[in-house]
Amino acid sequence: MLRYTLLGGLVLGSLAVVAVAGYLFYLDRQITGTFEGRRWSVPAVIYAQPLELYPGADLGLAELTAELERLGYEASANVDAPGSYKRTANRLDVYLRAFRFMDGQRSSRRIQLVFDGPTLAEVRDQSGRPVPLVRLDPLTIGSFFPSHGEDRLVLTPEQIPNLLRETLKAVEDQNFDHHAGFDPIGIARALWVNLKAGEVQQGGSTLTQQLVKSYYLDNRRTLERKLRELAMAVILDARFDKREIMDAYINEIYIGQDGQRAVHGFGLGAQYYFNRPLTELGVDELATLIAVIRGPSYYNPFRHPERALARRNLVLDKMLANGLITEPVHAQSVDMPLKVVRGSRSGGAYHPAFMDLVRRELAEHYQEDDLTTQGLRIFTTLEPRVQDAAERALSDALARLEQQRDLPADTLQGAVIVTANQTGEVLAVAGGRTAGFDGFNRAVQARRPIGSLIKPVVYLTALEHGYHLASVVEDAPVSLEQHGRTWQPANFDKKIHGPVPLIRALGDSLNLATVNLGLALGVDTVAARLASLTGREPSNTYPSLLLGAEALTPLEVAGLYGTFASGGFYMRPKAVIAVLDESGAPLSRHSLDLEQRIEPDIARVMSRALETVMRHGTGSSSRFARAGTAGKTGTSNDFRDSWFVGYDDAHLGVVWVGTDDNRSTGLTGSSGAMKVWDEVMTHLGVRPLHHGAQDDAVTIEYASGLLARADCADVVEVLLPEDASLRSKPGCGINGPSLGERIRSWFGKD
Amino acid sequence: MVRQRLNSPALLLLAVITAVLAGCATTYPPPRDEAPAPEAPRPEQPDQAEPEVIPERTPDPSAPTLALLRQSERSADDGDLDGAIAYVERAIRLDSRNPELWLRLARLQLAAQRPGTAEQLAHKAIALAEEDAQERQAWLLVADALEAQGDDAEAARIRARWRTYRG
Repeated sequence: MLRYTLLGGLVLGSLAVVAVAGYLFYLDRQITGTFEGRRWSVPAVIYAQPLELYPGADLGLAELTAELERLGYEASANVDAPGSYKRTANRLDVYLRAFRFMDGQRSSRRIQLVFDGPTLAEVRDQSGRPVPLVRLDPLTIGSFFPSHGEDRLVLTPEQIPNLLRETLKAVEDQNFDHHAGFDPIGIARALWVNLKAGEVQQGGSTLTQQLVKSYYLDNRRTLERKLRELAMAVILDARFDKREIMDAYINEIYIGQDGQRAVHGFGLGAQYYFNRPLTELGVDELATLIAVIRGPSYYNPFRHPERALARRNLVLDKMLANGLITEPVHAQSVDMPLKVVRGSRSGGAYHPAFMDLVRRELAEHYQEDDLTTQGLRIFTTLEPRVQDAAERALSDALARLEQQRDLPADTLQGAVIVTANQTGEVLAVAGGRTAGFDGFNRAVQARRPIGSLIKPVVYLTALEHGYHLASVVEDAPVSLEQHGRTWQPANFDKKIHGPVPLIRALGDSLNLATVNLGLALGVDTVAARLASLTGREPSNTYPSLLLGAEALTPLEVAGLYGTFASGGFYMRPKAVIAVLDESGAPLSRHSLDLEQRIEPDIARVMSRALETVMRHGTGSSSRFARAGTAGKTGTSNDFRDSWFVGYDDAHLGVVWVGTDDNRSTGLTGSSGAMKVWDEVMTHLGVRPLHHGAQDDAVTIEYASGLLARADCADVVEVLLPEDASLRSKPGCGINGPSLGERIRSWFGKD
Repeated sequence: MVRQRLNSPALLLLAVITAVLAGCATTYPPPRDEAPAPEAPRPEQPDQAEPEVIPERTPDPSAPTLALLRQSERSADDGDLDGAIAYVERAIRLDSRNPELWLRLARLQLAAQRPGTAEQLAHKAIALAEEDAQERQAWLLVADALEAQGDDAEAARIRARWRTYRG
């Protein structure tokens, strides 16, 4: 009997051992896989355009200083370390950080910049030799962390200061070098210390256990979970080097919360709290980060600076006690303030609308998974200065509009896109008035009726069908059957203006003249032209299309008007320049691509006409109407959408203002969206449009289209074809050279 | 590669069992709270200057663009056409109405077997050209790009038209 019992016990015991062994085998597979997988599982990092520094650049001392601060460069007396600068009367000494650009590594170096008012006059290297061109390191504007919200920036072993490793041991796990993944002595000591203090001062978990816990974010404190964690810690310790575990811990540990984004690892932690790379941090700052990991919310240095400071000093004491720092360094460090940077650009404020655009563009080439784990480096077209201007302009101008018009606060919404005229690169996107708010991206998603923004397409079609800007159309009542109802559009001023030249019909945005012109051309013809310009069939093919009863997104509008601004070349607005893999090899380049969609000579005529809109027409109340800009206003039915597109020689800006529930705002294109654009351009500064040498404009009377001398009243300059036959305005005619000599062909330069 | 210290499953098993049995003591986990912190507000922005119209200036844009073109040439010589293209694009960002740069870009795209892109870029150079010689070069490049796309007739027509040109 006893024998059977023993045998039974033995069998059961063996079964138990096999079961435990199987379980451990499973745990081993799991933790080893996670450790290996997580080690280099790195979210893609996204960079803005680096600022190019060269003699003659439009860049003043204040602007560049602001840019350096954005990048986390520190003012310093000696400029003796990368990431520091010194500012004197008209000069900046900058110690540039090393950075791996698309085209290779740039080592850290000192440069001298001399300014002449708003211009960067000289760029010199350390020995005073002139340098033709040098870049700042680009701003990191975010990363594509996985949907569960962890973001991190993985450091290589060389990027980890040894002081960090040693202090972590001293503070978190004194037996790290000797224990087997867990530490009964440490637990006992923690128990004792905590009992004595009457509060939790020390943790008993080893760094290895903390690492395991951080892999499987789970806060339930069950016994099963504790045991599993312990077993995994022991397995990790058995399988891997202490050093590898330590470095994994440094890259993995939860260190802060930035809205939806969980900040993991010391690399990103340094960026988040100090806006600087870990290697540039001082002893006191390193101690702050180590202090924070004990409880990133409890010791949050932004919200609880006194707690964070006290714990930082505790960490500094440990450093001293363990001989990791000297007495003078300790004394100096404990006197330091916390120095955390609230809302640092790389940590706090991203540009979600721009990031959304980047994500959409990349979705055409990459799997979501690649973006969140492959450590890709994505170089984009964002210009931080322009982005700031767009965000501030939108939020300031909308608040002011609400105030002026007695609208309740936060009634209005809006979107802004700024592109580079000649390349179509998107420099800034604001998807709503609250910068940094990751919500509905109106710039990309809101498809709204464009109103009079469509008119240049009607007039372009006319120019391509034998009309010119002095041709006369009738601004006369229209009554049409549409959808079984009578459609009777009216002018904004409710007046009828009779015969008017095209330039005035466009400039004053006359609805009746435009409809009559469009009907003469054929609605289908105009619709087809719109489709060929945007690459998208209009959904409306009725006459109301002629007045912009057709919805486009601000991004699509940017593409459409970019074609006018660039001399006839459509460029899809783009946000990504290149994607590099972890080793720096290009995975994809998104090079400049364009397609001629308007004959350059006609595009030039249209662009000059859009200048007239600013000088004489619906854009004339703009602050920059006479500064050499071109633009067009748009208003949809019942003032639901207020649009403006404007450009100078460098930047194209598209602005939409309205409400999310499509209510009437009472704003026209010029009283709403144009105010926002004005504000954007105030920040950016206007660069007047450049006219080609071959453009020989003719002056005509705005009201009548009759040829008139430049000194006559109410005249505008237009480009006309050579064969245009015009009558002169009585008493204002041109004497001297014949019209044929004055008007040069716009059909060809040969 | 990872260096694995312990490869025998038996040893590992033994180590783990001993460890687990030895210490099931309660540990005091550090107070790691996951409560999200409020989003840090953005710093106050300094006031910007009043509206300013930047006067038309005539700096010498050639120095930085020339430096970039030299780098582009080096990349092209090394057979890195995409790298060469990236340098010219950087130059275009600095001086985007310079027809020479667009022409250079068109040439490189043609060399990189992208004749459609090259053709359009050459048209851009034509639109910006201020001298007939530039225009001629760009048209001849359009002809090359068309030929590469199989449109020999149009290529021949363009060449015939510009061959007679003496600049």
